[in-house]
Amino acid sequence: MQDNHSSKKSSVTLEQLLHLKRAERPDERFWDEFDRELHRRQLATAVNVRPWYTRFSGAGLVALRRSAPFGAAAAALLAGFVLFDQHETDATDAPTAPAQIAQASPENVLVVLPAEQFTARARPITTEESPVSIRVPSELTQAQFVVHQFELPPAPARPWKTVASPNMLTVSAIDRGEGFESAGWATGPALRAPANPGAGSF
Amino acid sequence: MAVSKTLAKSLTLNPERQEEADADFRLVERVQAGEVAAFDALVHKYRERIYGIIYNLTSNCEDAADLTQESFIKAFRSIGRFKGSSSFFTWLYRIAINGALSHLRRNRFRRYFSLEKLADEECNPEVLQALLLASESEKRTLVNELQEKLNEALQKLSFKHRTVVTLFEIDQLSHQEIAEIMECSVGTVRSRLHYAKQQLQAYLKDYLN
Repeated sequence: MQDNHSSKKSSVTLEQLLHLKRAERPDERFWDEFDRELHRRQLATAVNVRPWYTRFSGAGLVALRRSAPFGAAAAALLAGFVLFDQHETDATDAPTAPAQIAQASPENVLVVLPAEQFTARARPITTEESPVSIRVPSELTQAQFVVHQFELPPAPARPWKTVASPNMLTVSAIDRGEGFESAGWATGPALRAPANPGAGSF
Repeated sequence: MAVSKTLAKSLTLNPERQEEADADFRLVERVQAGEVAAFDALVHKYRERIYGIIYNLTSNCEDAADLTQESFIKAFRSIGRFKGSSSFFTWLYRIAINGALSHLRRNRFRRYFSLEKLADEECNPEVLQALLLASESEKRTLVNELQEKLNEALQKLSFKHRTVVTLFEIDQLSHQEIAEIMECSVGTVRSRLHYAKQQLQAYLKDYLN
């Protein structure tokens, strides 16, 4: 082995060795899978909106651990936040939280969010079965795909902004009317990355 | 007019980088306006570099894949708060590096390397030539051995030193860009780089001239 090393020592520099690391990289199949998984997680993120008080929970727990005298006060404060948020949720017109929809919604349920409420604290106001139509090429009649998100042209009169579904939909379950003027993009086994994602209908 | 605030920092970026930063900021603004598909363009632009950084910091390709995903998801979640006070690229790199650091802290006792294959077309022929007085059949084995030794040596460096070496020698960023990402002075970057290379020289003395 030492002989091997001696021969390797001839003229290699550290920089050359480090540059060799640029050649360490995954293949194209890896990136296909990577994109699919990232879209899935993005979708879950878009639908699964965290309640605002969870942002404080980490800091609250650290404070409890590190500072016993303030522990009780921090816990009381945290409980107060939770109760306050619960009270607000009860008072709203929308009884269903996004997290519940993401976990429990059956196929073909679309979540409709009003534009002015599409914020970190947004609550869906309706969940209906297949309430919308999209344009689908005829060759995809039986295909399954995920409706990720529809971007609609700006129109102040529209009560909604974004439609997302956390589940697989079948094309046959979707009404083919003209309810929606444009759609975003979709991914799935039968519908690979469109040429121009996000622009126009698919 | 979508021009990033990084224009104010134009002295620190060369014109090409500045143009890139402005193009990124325009995409960020589209994402902030609700056009989720614009985020795809940012992902496609940076995914390989972010993966490369994390992979070289962790020396584990499975962890690198997960952490790269997490970095983009974190960026996606926080992009509404991105104001352009630094370039998107700097901001994203910070997310990725902090994510890798947290991961390594959580798994500090784990030492499991899983390496990517070397892409043949990018294997520096000079390195191979210089390295090997061996036969063709032995080349691959020796290169793989070298790859392992180098990763082991990198893992012996502190996180800060490893990050500087990775960003400078592998990702080819400038000292200034690294300083912005790591939020330290250019002098500190130079000094860390010098020390890190000295350490690597010592660890790899059997393989180097």
